[in-house]
Amino acid sequence: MTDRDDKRTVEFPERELEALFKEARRETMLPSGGLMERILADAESMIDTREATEAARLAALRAPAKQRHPLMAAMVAALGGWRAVAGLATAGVAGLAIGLGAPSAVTVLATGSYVSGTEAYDTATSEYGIDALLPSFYELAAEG
Amino acid sequence: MDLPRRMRYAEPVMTMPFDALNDVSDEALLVAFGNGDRAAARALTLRLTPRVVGYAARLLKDREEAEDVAQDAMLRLWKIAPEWRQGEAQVTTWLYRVVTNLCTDRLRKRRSKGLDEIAEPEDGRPSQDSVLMQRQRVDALQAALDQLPDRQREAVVLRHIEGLGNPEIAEVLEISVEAVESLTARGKRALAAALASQREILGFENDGS
Repeated sequence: MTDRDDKRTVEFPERELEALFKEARRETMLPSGGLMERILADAESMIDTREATEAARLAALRAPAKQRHPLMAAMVAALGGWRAVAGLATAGVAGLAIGLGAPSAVTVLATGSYVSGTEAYDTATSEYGIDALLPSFYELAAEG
Repeated sequence: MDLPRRMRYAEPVMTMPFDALNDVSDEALLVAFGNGDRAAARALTLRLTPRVVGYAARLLKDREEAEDVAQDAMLRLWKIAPEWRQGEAQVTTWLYRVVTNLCTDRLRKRRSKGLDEIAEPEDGRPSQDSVLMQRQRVDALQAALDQLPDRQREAVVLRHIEGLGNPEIAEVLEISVEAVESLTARGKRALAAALASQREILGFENDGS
């Protein structure tokens, strides 16, 4: 090789190399449809896995709250649910109030002492008027 | 108006539905994917796979291996999506880096097995006859590229075929911008020397002065 050739070797490419690069760019390999599908399937399974993990995590968080009082839950269920239990509780409180608040009226009614023996029962003159059959709200209000 | 863009991405997989995510950045799509957005996964696949596989094929000269690398690189992208730190690196830069490393590993393995000669230029997909001269030129360029040291080849391909800027190449190869400049310059000089003897065969003599 002569000096001149060497010089040409160095000179030629810039423009021609550019042309080659341009042609190479046009020839760049395109992905096959199969590859695209595989890649997309990877992505989707990644989402599925993440969603499953998240669902399991949430389920794990929720579970202990449900199982905190199994005995309590069983009792409530046996009595007919929370509404029945609420009714029972109300009745209990009412009973307690009556018991504490109106002893005389209730005992009188309960023992039936207002109908003593064979005595003629005269509602008009009797000390125990018809209103004695009703709870004495006045006394309740006074004492309780 | 958006037809050309449509065509560009729709070309490889014509059956896939196309959606209105053209104007969304790679990063925003990646974050959306990290939050479980399947449409984002589709858009990213369509947008990034051609670049990834093209670059891998350029480095590996083997279609099948390039597809494996592309799938592997994209899988890594799907995996890191939830932890993607926004604003730190471009998604494409990150991908180019992953592909570069995966290809380097494969080339190294290939060499250690002494199988470097297995990969002939890409199998003739379209009819070769019609584009024989161009084919010949591209093959010659590819052959010359293959003679380069790995780093030079990566730098030249990223700069002149993938069209990246020097700062981005520096990020991909994890070297300084000056080192990139030096690699591309040396790479091009070596390419020129390798191709010089084939100028006439490649039809350059008639191209002008």
